[in-house]
Amino acid sequence: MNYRLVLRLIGNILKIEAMLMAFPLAVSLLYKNSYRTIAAFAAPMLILLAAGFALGSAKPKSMQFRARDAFAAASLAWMAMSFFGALPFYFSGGFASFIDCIFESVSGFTSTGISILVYTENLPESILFWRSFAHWTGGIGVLVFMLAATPEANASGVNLLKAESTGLSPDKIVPKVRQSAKILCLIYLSMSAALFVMLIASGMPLFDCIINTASVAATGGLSNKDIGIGAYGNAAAEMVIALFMFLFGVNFTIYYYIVNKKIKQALADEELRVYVAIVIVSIAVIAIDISSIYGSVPSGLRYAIFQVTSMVSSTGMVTADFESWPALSRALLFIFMFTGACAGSTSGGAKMVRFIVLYKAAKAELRKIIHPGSEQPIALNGRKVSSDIISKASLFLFCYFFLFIVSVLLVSIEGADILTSSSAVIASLSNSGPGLNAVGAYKNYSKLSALSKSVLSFCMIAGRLEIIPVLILFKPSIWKRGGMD
Amino acid sequence: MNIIIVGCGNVGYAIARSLSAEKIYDVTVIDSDSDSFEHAVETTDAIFINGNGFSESTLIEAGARDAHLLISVTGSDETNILCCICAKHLGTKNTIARVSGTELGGMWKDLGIDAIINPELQTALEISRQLRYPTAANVDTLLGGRVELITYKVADAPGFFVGKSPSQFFGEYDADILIAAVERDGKAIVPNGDFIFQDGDLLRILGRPSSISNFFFILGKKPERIKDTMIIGGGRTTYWLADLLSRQAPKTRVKIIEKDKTRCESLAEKLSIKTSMCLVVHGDGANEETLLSEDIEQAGCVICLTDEDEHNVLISLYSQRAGIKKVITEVNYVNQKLVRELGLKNIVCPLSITTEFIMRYIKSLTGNEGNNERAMANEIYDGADGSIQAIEFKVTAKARCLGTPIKGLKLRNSLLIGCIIRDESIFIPAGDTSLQMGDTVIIISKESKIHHLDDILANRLPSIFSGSL
Repeated sequence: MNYRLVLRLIGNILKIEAMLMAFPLAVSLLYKNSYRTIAAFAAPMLILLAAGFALGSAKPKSMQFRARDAFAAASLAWMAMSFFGALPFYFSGGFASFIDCIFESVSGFTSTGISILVYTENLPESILFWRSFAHWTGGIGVLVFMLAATPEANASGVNLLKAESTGLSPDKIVPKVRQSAKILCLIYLSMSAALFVMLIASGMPLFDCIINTASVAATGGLSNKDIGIGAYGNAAAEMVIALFMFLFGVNFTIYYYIVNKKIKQALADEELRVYVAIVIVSIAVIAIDISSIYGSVPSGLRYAIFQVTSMVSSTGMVTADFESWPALSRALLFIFMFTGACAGSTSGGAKMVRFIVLYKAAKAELRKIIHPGSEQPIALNGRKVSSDIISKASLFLFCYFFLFIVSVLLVSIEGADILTSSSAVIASLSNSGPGLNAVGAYKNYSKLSALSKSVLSFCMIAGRLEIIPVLILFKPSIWKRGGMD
Repeated sequence: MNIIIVGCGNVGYAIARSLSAEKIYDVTVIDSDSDSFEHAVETTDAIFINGNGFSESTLIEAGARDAHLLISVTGSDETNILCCICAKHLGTKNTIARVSGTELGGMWKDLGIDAIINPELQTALEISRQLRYPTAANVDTLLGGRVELITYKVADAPGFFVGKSPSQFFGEYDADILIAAVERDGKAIVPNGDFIFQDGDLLRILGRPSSISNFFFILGKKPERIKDTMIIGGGRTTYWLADLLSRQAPKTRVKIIEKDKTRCESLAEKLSIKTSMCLVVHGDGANEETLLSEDIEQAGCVICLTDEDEHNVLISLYSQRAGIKKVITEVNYVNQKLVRELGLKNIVCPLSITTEFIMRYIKSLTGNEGNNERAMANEIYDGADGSIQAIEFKVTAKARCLGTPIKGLKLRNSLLIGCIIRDESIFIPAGDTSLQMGDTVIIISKESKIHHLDDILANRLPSIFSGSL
């Protein structure tokens, strides 16, 4: 690993984080929060700047981000960012322990949206804002943001883009890596702006609009209300949020195609079609399934639309206690945690495209048993999928489940029931939010042990970066200095 | 500017890499072998598409409908020609094909291809250039070989220069050349009318190839013809080189050693039509015995053009030790600096010749039409106190310096109007020459901030906003 290059990158990320912290600081001044709260943002800002400039001054001999450097840098940067992001929570004094602060911060940046807070509404506005703002910066990815902002990005920056983006083989949209990052940021910004305007129009209070825009755009899910979006009783706002949760679950490349008038190509995307089909069918099934609880299919529809888009995009917002829903509906919502939405979106989970490709691979394998020796090429969007990609997809799923198993065992040590532990782990790994039973829709994660919270925090970061960049830190050879530096 | 490159081999990769480093070029690379991308992704800020360069869908995906340029540099002539035709058909504005074979002749123009590059021919031209002036080291070319730039030591003929100014020299001798730059005590000087030559000056002289030969003739340094040339390796470059030599120096005897029997036969057959001075010998040039039995020690010059760099380097080292005065080594993939450190001075690199040719073509496309911005700049001398550049302009729009005789223009300090191409003829301007619309002009200047043609005038400050790059 090129230590100086990685440290320099982390330094730059910390500098960006210091700048981002100016926003909650402004909020705390605006809402005249206590001096302690104001200091809780001012002090970490100074620490971040000091650390950022100290690390950022490292002078690497080579500015080339090899794949290994980029992967290690991405996961270390995310960990550093989460650690420093926890400081305002800790200094503000509203949290029980430091691990709680870390947990909350990780949940914010990874846009998971699970909280250990019991009484959200008593917290200062600036703290609430910081939680959601962390979502928003983590949603598109802070490295993407950095690539777009810094002119020094060279061609090897594509490895950083790959380390942070999601999907089978994430790549640039346009030839220049910086331009690609800019396009992603621009799509993200303009969609967030559209969401904000529509929320204002729906009659939601301004501050809540800001918080919810940040949470929904990142498909995070943290809210400033204890019982979430349901607290507003505002059907228009719910539908706006549902629409955007759905939209933020779509691959951003599709939007680039649409802006460039390649509508045909955009609509022909197989993953998009599967995603739309699954969402529509699930909404219909759940609406019928829960109609007995809410009296009629139309009134069930409102909850079904919101809950399906929320879970499939791994946002994890709730408008109804789905714990009381029939088993079929609960099972569907639970399964969405595994699948997630489309690659290259802000959603979590394993991404539908992997399931599509592996489904095709399995089908081809079966045909091969029937016709041995036959060629069974696998294609996605009219292009051949190389066996390398297929093996990467299956290895990803293996790592995903391996990490799931290990984490469930670790979380089970504290003695919660299997559904609680396993749903808590999968909710963290997929960056969704609420689990089932003791960590269900209207409950939270505050009662878990410190060990479980640490394990889940790790799962959240691993899930956000799609496992491999984090697992690579466990290879001892990555910590050895390369020949050059 | 959108550029598509087909073929990610040595040449394709080199072009993609240098183009993608510049902001204005968006590069897409197509290759049918996705393994060839692997090493390129980290260094080249481009999109890589795995596919066939002449398949419609691949070309459309790469953006051939509105691309400005397609460069096809795969190893196959046929593929390259086909890629260019297909892309042109889809709407790509310009196309360049790499074509090594001779079969196509001049038909490429009719096929809608805008330029072809023949790496082997270009390499042969470069070698023949290096052979022409035995006393002059360091031959550079401008305007794609139509103008040459050589280095000459005043100490070699002090009587002609010392104590004189350039105008005195040209008053005495009728030489159609330009003394573009003088190196004195590690500093670069652009000589004006009252410059006086000193012993120890190093001159950079610019002119047409024929004028430079004439200049040597005036100095009484009529280049001694190299009697015997031995070429090791009988590939395409060798064919072109032998062909060129047979025309430029019909009395030079050329001996070619090639280890492949069929290559020997076809080369001998092709060359026998052109010249009787070539002898093709079947044998292994890497074998000392073969070289000795073919009298390598009697050769005036040894040129190593085998397919393997390692062989070229070793045979060159051997030839140098055997006392050969001029040894030229072709190097493709071995580190050039390393080869120089081994003591080999004359190195030709087909890869960089090809890359330069293509980069030159691209720059000429970007030389913005209609605003007289500079098309290209070549550094001709890099001294301790700054460098001297040869800057090329195409006069495509009105400018203040047009129409007035050069002696009436108030030019900046350390600046010369080097040469002018007008209606296919190249000449060094005299005092009463005036620049005209449609000319291509080379400006020699120590000041690099010359972006616009009118920047050559003394009373115009370098404009901040015209510097497009």
